[in-house]
Amino acid sequence: MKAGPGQLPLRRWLLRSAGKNLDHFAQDKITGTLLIVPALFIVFVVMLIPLAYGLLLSVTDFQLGDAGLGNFVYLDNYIKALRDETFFQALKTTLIFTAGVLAAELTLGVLIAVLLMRIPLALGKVLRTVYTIPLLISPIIVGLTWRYMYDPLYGLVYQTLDTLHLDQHFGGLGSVQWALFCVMIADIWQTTPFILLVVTASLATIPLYLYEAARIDGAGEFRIFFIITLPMLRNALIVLTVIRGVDAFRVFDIIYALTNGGPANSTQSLSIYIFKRGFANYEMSYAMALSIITMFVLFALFMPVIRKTRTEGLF
Amino acid sequence: MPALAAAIMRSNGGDYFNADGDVALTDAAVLEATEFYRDLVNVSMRGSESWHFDDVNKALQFGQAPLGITISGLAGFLEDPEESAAAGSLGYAPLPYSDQSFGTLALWSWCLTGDSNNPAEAFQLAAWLTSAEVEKQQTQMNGQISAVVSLFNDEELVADMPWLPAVGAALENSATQPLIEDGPLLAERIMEMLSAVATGVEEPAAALESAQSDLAELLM
Repeated sequence: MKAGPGQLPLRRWLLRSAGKNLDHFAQDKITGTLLIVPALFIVFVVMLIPLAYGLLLSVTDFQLGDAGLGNFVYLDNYIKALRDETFFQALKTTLIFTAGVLAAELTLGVLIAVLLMRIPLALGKVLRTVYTIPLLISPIIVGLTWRYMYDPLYGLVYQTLDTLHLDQHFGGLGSVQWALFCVMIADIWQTTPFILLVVTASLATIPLYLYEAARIDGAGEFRIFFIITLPMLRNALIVLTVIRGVDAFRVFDIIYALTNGGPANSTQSLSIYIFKRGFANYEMSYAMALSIITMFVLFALFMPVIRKTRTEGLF
Repeated sequence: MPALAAAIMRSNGGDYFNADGDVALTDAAVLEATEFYRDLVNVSMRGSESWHFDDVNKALQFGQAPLGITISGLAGFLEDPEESAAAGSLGYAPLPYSDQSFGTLALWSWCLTGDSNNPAEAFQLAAWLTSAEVEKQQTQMNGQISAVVSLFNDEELVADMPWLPAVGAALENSATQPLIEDGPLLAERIMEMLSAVATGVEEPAAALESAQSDLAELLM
C-alpha cells in the first residue's frame, strides 16, 4: 500500500515520522497509536466535546434563546430533577416500556426465527423478507400508520375488535389504561424483525449434529429447544438485550407520532419529557441535567450486562 | 386542546390570571368551565379525546361527525368538494357561550425591528399588506383569514367561504393565549391538566388545584 510523502508504504512512513532505531515492539506500539489517533480525534470531537458541553449547560440556568451560557447554578437542576414527580413518572413509564417490549420482542423474535427454520427453505426466505419490511420503515411513519390503525372511526384495530364484539373493552390511544400497551404493540411490530434477523443468523451457526444426537436420544421438540437452541443462542440474546434495551430506553419518535406522551402523561417516556422541557418550555439546562441523569440510569441498567459480555469476549 | 378550553373558560368569565396577575385556576368560573369541558369530552365521539383539529376536520369531511369544533384556518378543507363529502351542507357558528362570547385568537403579525434603517417604509409595507384590498386578495388566493372586520361579511368572499361571518362573530370578543415569557410552560401544564380531566384520571377540582399550585410556583 502506497501512502504519505515520497510514496513510501504506510507503515514505513509512519515509523519514519515517529523516529528511527526502534525495536519491533516499540515500533508496533507507535504504529498502533498513530493509527488510532484519527478515531480518537473523532470520538473526542463528536462525543466528548458535546458531552462536556451538556454537562456544563446542566449546571447553568441557560434557556433556549439566551445569548450567553446563563448563570452558574451549581447542582440546582439535579436537585430540581430529584423533586420532579413527572420525571419519575416518565422514568417508570420508560422502564415498563423497555421491559415490556424487550421481553415480547425477544420471545417473538426467537419463536418466529425457530419456526421459520422448520418450514421449506423457499417459503422461509419469502416470509423472512416479508417480516423484515417493518424494520425498513421510519419509526415516525410507523407511529403515524399505527395512529390510524388505532383510529376508532377508520382504524383496522377497532374494526377487527368490532367483528369480535370486543371493541367496547378496548380503550385505544385515548385511554390511560391502554395507551402505553398500544404504543408497545406498534414498537414490537416494528422491531421484532431485527431480533428475527439476528437470531436467524445465530441459529445457522448451531451444529446440526447436536440436534441429530438429541433426536437419537429421544428428546422431543420442546426439550431440544430448551436444552440446545436457547443455550446456543445465549450470546446472541445477551447482545440483543443490550442493543434493543438501550434503544427502547431512549424511545422517542414512535411515541411522539402516536401520542406525544399523552393521555395524561401515561405514555410519556424520558426522551419525550426531556424534549418537552428543552424545546417546548425552553428549559435547556434542566433538560440537559435530565439527559445526564438518564445517561447514568442507562449505565446502571446495562453496564453490568455490557461488562459481562466484555469479559466473555462478545464485544 | 388548550385553545378550546381557554375559549370555554373565558366565555364563562374565568381566566388564567386574576386582576392582580396571580394564577386563578381555582376560581369558581374556571372550575365550572373545566367541568363543562369534561362533560363535552364525555359525550364526544369515541377516541376524539386524543384528536387534533385536523382529526376533527377529517371526521367532518368524511361525514362521520355531525358536529365539530375546529379552527378557522382549516375550514377551507370542509368546503372543498374534492376533499370533503360534506361540502356545501355544513353550517357554521361561533362557540356557544354561558356568560359572554369569546374566541381564542391565534395570528401572525407584521413587526418592525427597533433598529430598522427604514422604519417609515417598513411601516408602509406592513400597512399595505394589511389593507382591506390586499388582505381580500390574499384570502381569495389561499383562504387565509385576515383581521379586517369588513372582510368577514364581504359578499364576494362569503360566497366561497361561508364560515367567515361565524369567525368574525367569534373574534368580536377574543384574546390570544397569555403572551408571557413562560407561555409554553403554562400551555404544557394546562394541557396535562386537561388531559387528566378528559381521561378521568383526575376530577376537575383536584386537577385545577394541582395545576394552580404548580403554576404558582413555576411562574413566580
